[in-house]
Amino acid sequence: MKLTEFQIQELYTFTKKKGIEYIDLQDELVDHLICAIEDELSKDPTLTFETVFKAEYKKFGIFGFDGVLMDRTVQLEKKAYRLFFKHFIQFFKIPKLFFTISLFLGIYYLMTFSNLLEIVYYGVGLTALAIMLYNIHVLFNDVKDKSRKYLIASQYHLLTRLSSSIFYWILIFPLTVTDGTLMENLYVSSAMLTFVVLVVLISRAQLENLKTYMEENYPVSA
Amino acid sequence: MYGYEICKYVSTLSDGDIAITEGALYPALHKLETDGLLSVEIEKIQNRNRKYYSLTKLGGVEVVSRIEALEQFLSSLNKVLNPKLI
Repeated sequence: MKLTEFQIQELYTFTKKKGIEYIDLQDELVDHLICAIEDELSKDPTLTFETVFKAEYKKFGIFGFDGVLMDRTVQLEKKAYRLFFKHFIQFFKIPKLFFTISLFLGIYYLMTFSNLLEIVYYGVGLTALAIMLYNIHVLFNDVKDKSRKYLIASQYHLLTRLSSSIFYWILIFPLTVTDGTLMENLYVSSAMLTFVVLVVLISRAQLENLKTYMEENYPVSA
Repeated sequence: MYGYEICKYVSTLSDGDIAITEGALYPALHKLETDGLLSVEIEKIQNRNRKYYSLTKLGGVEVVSRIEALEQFLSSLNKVLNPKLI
């Protein structure tokens, strides 16, 4: 026995009321409830939609959807971090390793000009930070729909953490803790800037991948 | 397979003895997905999205090793429960 469109909408409303804002999780849980309810109603047509629905929701345990939601949030964040490190490692393997080495040597070369040292260092650091902040801005402004916003929340955590790391390790740490001597060590500062550029490139690529995934699977009209 | 299908399949195979609770199934599926053991495909079914899970190559390898570990555990447990009389 198939559920009506109205009943399906009721399940979506219920799921949202229970705090499930991730659009993919909503779809998954509602699909589960629909299948289970339709199955039960087919076995015993004398049962009502409400009775079966309540019984099926109870099967999620005393925490209901909360446990699933909490876990999903943790897993999405983990996934974002793992993807980031997977991409990062690629830059230390052939062929991308050539790009990393060239980038390092390019920055190192520019920094050998003593009059350019601070300009290059702060120029790259501040530009990277600006791009990361712009990415966060774009991430939230591109996605107007609330349910789609939650799906990308994990990326938001990753981006904010990376941005604050750049801010501290590149712009604050060398000045306050090492009193500027770290910046004068060209090997260390070139390596730090290379790392920052890679972080920006990977974040950008990851955002593009996420956007494509969302456009393919969760178009705005859905 | 999708979530509900997995619950039903396990229940059918075990003649209803093993019932996977929904509250445990989805966190487990999401964890396996994050660990790269499962891959996900989304299909449109009657105007809604359905998430299908399937084993990745890595997942297939992991299944074999987990089954081996389980069999070894069952064999050890059997030895403890049915000791050979000296």
